[in-house]
Amino acid sequence: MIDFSRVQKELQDCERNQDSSGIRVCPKADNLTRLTGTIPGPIGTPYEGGTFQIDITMPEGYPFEPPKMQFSTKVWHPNISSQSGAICLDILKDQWSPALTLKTALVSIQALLSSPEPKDPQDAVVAEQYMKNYQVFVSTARYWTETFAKNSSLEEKVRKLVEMGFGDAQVRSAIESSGGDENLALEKLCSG
Amino acid sequence: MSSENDFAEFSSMFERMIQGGGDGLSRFLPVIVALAAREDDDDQESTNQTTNPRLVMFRSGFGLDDFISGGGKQGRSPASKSAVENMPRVVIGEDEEKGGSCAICLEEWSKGDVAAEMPCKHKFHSKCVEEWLGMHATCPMCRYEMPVEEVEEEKKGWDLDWFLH
Repeated sequence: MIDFSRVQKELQDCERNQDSSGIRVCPKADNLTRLTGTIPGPIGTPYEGGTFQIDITMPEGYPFEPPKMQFSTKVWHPNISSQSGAICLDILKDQWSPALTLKTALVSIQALLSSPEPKDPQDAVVAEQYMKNYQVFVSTARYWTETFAKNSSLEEKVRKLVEMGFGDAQVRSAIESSGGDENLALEKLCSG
Repeated sequence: MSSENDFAEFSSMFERMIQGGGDGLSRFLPVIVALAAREDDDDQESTNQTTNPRLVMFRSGFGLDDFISGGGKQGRSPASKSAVENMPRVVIGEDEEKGGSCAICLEEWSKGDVAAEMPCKHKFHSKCVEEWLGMHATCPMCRYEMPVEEVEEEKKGWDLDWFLH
């Protein structure tokens, strides 16, 4: 059974202490089992200027089991799957402790963005590029940030697709399920 | 004896497998475990021991990491019941009360609350920390390692005879 009173406290804490980190957690539905985390790309990295969304699913055993977290914003990073957004981070697996919180887990993910560990990769292609051709890695990661993680462009994407004649809600859900990929969202809208 | 040569041959073969990325190694784990257990039996007088704590490593998902490191046992095993029971229960005084809370449920301490104090001096509600220690023998705050529940582990292990015969 999820300790909802604790989740509630965590959310209140996050709201009360809106610090300079820019990290936020918002519930997706009323039941607090699914939430969305937001982390700004760390300054001085190829992710700078981007805003990254993390899908959070609370397991039954929370806080004795780690929250399930994965990127819904596409990101180019050795420890994050470029396909699924799955994150390779020990505290989200066997190194979880109930003294950690959603906020501290998101802070750890932000730290992972700053210091990739290519020797323990989630995405082998990205990790190989990071180790063998660092400059190409940096420009690819920066390009992905520009394309998928620029906050201001969400409304722009919505506006463009709405102008093509799709409904607003339909467009937003297509963009969300495409991880912010405008072209993929358009494909979905056309095929759906 | 030839069995020693066999053992040496096996060892070097496994070494090569590990260096080569560990492919296929998991298929040989029953053999490794059985050999390791047999070594143990030679050292000990008692041979009617039917389970071996090392079998846990084989059982835990065939993970190569688990196999090589063999570590992190405390992180994944329950703490021993006696260690949990023997933790002192302390009454929260005014010092802790000020702004402090149980790091597991995040409830603030009230004066007079009873907390379990771990050997590392970290305090949690008894109910909260007992639930955690029932799964992982570590302090949630500092990962201080509590003794693990060995009996429980052995019960979970596989029957050694199954491998040897």
